[in-house]
Amino acid sequence: MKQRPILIDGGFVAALVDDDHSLHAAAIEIYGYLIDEFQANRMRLFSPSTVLRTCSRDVRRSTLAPVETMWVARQHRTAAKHVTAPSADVAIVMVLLQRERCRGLATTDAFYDQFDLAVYRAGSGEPVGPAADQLPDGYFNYEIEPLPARQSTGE
Amino acid sequence: MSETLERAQTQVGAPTETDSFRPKRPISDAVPLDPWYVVRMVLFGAYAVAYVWWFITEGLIIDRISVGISVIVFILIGHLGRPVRRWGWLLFDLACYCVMWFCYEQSRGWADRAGFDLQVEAPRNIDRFLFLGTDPNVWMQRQFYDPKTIHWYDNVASTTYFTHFIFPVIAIAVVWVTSHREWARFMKRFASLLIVACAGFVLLPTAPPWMAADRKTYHYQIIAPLARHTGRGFRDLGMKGFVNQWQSALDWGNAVAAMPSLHSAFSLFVPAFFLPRIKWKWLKAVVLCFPVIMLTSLVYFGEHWVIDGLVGWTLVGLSFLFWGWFENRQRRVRAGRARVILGISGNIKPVVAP
Repeated sequence: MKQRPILIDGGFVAALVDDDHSLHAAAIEIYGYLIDEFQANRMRLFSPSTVLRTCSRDVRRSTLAPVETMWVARQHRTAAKHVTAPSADVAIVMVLLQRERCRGLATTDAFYDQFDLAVYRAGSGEPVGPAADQLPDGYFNYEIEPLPARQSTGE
Repeated sequence: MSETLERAQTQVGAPTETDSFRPKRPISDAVPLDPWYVVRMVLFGAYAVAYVWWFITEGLIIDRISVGISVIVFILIGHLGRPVRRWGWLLFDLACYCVMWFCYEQSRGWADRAGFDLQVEAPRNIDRFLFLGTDPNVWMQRQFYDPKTIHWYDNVASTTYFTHFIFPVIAIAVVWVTSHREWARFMKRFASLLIVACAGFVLLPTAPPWMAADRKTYHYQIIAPLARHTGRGFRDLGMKGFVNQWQSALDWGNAVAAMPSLHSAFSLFVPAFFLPRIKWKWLKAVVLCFPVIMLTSLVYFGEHWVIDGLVGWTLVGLSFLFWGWFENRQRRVRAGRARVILGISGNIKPVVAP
């Protein structure tokens, strides 16, 4: 059986770990399904290293225990500069989806609905940013943060 | 099925349909193509052409150094343009891989030094028990072996035998390049099998049938004479260099490493690993014929007893079972931790009807 790789973006993780988040309940419901699929060996769950780095060790080992790290390398950041997207984080997620052949995404952002992906979206809110076809021609040049200094991510 | 599961499948499991009226576009439209991907594909094409050219002009690569070089080149191509971290993994994997084969080669020396009793009659007796008093090696050679003529089945059996030196290496290289996680899954099972097999070679040195039947060098003579004609069919197909190198390699190989049969084990291992990825049942059945043909060939050539092959298959099964259980347990534990913290219950547990 081949497991489907599912990427969990920063917005979804934030909704999941924050009890006060407006989409917390919706995120938990979706995450429960993803965990079931993970346990049944039908899915592999990933989150970008940039997102997991922001979570505490306890969260990584408990709430996010089924989630593996998808490492964001310099080449992903470089490629993200040439992606038309509402934010740098979204651009990086899109690069990861493409380069790591993920065809599923857990998110809170409706921006991804326009793509040929299996989107597991918490909430049914409006897109956080404008749709890609509404963005001006040419590239969005993000000031992507330089790679942070090497540090433990709790693994 | 529980209501929760149904809800999960209908509401959560299905991707969102909010913008279903809008045509979906592939993510590749929005993300620039990785330029290194093109480089890798071109180099893989060149590699394939070079390999075929070498095969036609020089023959099949078999010696360990050439095989090692060809595999390393293949893997390096597959890692071109990958992040630095991936190269670090590659170096670590390579070190583990080398240690594994080094230990395997060293097991020959351990077997010599350990000095356990050589098993000669025991495997023959087990085979006779399994086949109601008949020696399967002898029976097969009497039925099919013709010293004057090389039949089509000699070609098939000999080719099957020599795939042992090719298929596992190709499988490892391909898995290595395509997915690091799959490579780790593959190697855990493979290394476990190899370790147990080496322990078997040390603790239970077993004379193969051709040795047990030998009347010139070993003088065991516990079964009727057998011809060791393993390379004949492959040589007939033009693979003379391959067969000659194999014969010279026999001089420094462990001649009494018959139990378990790694030929038999690897022939099941590789198909078994890729079996879940095969969609069609008929193809699965065809693929599973391969280990049967391998064991039949081994018995026909007098290289192994039937019990050697059966033990090899059993070890493969045990290796897959153990690691499958271990990985399932890991998934269950990690999923359980998340559920406890979030206060959610598992949906996939079957609900027993009253």
